[in-house]
Amino acid sequence: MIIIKMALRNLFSHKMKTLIVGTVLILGSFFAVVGVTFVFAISEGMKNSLTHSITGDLQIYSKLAKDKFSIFGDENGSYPDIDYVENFATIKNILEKEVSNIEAIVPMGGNFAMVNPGNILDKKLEELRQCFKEKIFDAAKILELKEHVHAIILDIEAQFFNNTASIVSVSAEDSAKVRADLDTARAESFWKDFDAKFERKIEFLSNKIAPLIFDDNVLYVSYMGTIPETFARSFSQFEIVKGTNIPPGHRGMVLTDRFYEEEVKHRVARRLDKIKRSLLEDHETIKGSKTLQDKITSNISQSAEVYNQLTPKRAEEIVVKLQAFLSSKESDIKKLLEDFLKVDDANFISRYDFFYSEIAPYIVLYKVKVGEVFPITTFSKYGTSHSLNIKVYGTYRFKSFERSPIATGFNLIDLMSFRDLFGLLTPERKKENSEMEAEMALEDVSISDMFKKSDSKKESEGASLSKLKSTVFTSGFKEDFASQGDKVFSNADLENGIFLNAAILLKNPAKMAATMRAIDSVSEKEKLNIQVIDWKNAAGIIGQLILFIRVLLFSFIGIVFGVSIFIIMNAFIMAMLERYKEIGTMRAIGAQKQFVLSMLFFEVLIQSVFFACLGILLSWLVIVIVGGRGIPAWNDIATFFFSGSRLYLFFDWWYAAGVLLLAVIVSAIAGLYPAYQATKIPPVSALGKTH
Amino acid sequence: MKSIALKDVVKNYYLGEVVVPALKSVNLNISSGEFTVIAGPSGSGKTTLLNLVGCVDTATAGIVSVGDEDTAKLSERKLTDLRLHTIGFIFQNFNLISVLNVYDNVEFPLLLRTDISKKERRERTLKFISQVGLEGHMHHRPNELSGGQRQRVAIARALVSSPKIVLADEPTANLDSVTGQKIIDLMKEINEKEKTTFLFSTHDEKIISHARRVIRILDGQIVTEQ
Repeated sequence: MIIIKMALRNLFSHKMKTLIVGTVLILGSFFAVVGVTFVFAISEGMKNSLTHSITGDLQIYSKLAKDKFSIFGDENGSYPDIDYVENFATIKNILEKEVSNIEAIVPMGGNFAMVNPGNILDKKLEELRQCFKEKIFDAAKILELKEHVHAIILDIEAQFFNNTASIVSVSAEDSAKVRADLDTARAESFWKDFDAKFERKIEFLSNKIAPLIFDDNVLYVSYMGTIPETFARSFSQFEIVKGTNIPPGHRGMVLTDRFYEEEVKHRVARRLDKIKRSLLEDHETIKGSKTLQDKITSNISQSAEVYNQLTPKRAEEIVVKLQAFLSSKESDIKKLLEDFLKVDDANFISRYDFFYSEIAPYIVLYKVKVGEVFPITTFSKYGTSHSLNIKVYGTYRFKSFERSPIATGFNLIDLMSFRDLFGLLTPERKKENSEMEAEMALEDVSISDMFKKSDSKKESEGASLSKLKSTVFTSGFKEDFASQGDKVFSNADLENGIFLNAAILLKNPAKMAATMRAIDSVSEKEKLNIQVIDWKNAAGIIGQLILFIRVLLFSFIGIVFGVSIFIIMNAFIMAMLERYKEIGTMRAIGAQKQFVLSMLFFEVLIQSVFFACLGILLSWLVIVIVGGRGIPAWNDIATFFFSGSRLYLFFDWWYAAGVLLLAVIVSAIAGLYPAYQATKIPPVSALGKTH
Repeated sequence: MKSIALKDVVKNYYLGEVVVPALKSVNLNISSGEFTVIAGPSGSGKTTLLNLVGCVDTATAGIVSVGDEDTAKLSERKLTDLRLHTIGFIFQNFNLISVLNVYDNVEFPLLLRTDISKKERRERTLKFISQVGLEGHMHHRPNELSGGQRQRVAIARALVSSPKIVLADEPTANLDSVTGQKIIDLMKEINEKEKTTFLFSTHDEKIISHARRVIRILDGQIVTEQ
């Protein structure tokens, strides 16, 4: 009791020591609790972002994988070579039967593809070609399209020599050829007999003139093959934004809504969207942001991408509207558009609204629209390229982290199309292809159904010449798609085939380690030839970020408390020296060394508990007030880390208890040396005047 | 009965390699219940002699016996026990524990003992506070007391565990003469009442005149005994 009394009274009698020790312990405990809470909330956020979107709790893949699996690709952005697993149905059935903690298994396979939907001239020429092929001849529409094509051609020369030639070096010989082709396309004689010779004329324009348009129409699509309805059912955060999911058993794609809005959308429009978001959500100003000013400059310099898409008639109408809107007498649409796109903080919103109400409906707002079919080309690791025509059924996002670029980086494709694009070459198939390529001089081949474990005869029939032709991309792809796209695959078709990796969702994620051991054991027993990794490893560098952040946090806490040890120790040594005579007196009147040791130790304990509790109380207040309202995600990356637009913090008494224990241990270590030194104070020092 | 015995006691201090003799072959016997003053000028060896008797320091040579114990043969733990049970200290600067009040300071030596019940502790503490006349100041801290009051607290603390010997190192040095006289009177009164052996050092002649036995010491040697 006397020890407690003395310890408490010493808190007030040695004010400087108390102030130093108290400040160190309060701040240390406060930052430790807030830091741990923050980092664990982020970890949990990242875990949710990953496990509820793409990784699942576990991932399985072939034991023969050459590279370490990472669902987001390696550090170079390419997919690791993880080989493939023969039959999804076999793996699924055995694992679901043998491992009780498995909720669902979603087959997957990632790859990159190139999509070239063509530029505006390609699109108009394709429309024109279709018009000529229609049974009912629409003369007015053909005339309008021809006028539009003509207008684009008239604008190409300036565009080509001002923009393209400044980026790509063009020889004098090529320049002369370009000029000659353009002269041909602009000549009156070219258009005079256009209708009669439309196929040759369109082909000339497609081959010679359309490539002169410099644009960024090629899309690089990161996609993931899966069974769409299984994916949607298994990942609770999945939701369709536009259109529909791929119907069960059909070929098709659903793009991530972010990809659709930020990559597929017309770039002038998406820059306007970004400026709007920066102004309204991030409270930036055009005047104060160099990035926003650069976007405006880009829009002005690329205004041709807007007016080239307008038919001459529509352009005339928009000129009148722009003149009224801008109070301008200018009649040149190029200059009017440049002036219109020169936005500032005051006029942005009205111009944004005008753009979407008066201009956007008449331009190609999305390179690929929901509901359209487009060609997709991939290059397999076997060195072959494969193309398919795929219908985009819709767009999707993951609820609460729709703005996160990482969790929404995967466009979904049906598993059958994925297998076709993956282009697995078995030795037999390799031989067969070589023979066919030699015969047909084909370079691009896609082989449907090649991975199915059907008999070789049937397989051989499936790869007939006509089928191969149908899967090679040509400009008239829509008819080809009809032959593939209409086929509905059964569940057995989907499941009886290869997959690269599969996400496993667990009934109880807390039993992850035990489940992994169980899967390994089943794989060993049943010779499944698969390996299993947890979501952190499956997410590669991103998953390791969690570990990195934790290491960073614990290093920070370690440094804070490490420094605290020295500060507290120093403060206690000073206090001990101040009490030298007092301790000597206690020893002189009969106090054993043990009494002195326990007295000082208890004092350290009381101080550490008292001040650590104060720090924890402070952290509790901050977490309840600030964390309860949620820390807003300041950018898209933060959205991923926060698993939503805000990070909510929850006070965990276990963290607090851990920090309290740590503070006590730190104080005990810090107090040990001074307390030990105090026991060495000789009783005779009670009589001395100095020490 | 001998309470304290010193036989050929030598105490040297060392300043680097220089030997500074503090006591030179001192022989002294003090019986139980004696009220003895060690007198001498500053630096004569009074405090050194008290330190050796109080078991807070050890002799370079010779034998220091307290009660029947040869202190040189006791472990540090036993010496501490001897100080707790047998010796009471009264210091020149009072040496009270600043964070404790009068009651707690007086009670402190009893708290170090395990052989005294809580009830007895309280009774003895109150008895000695009352004996030194500080009943009204029990909850005062040392810094709220005068010099004389502080020394009374120190006396109560020295006596509360009923030691056989009380050592007082110049107990009146920091007090005015009236207060000093009162403190000496108090110690004499307790000596007579409790039969406690008192050994205190001083160089104040007025105080010396009140002692029954005076041992004069000079340059580390006993020069006279009265």
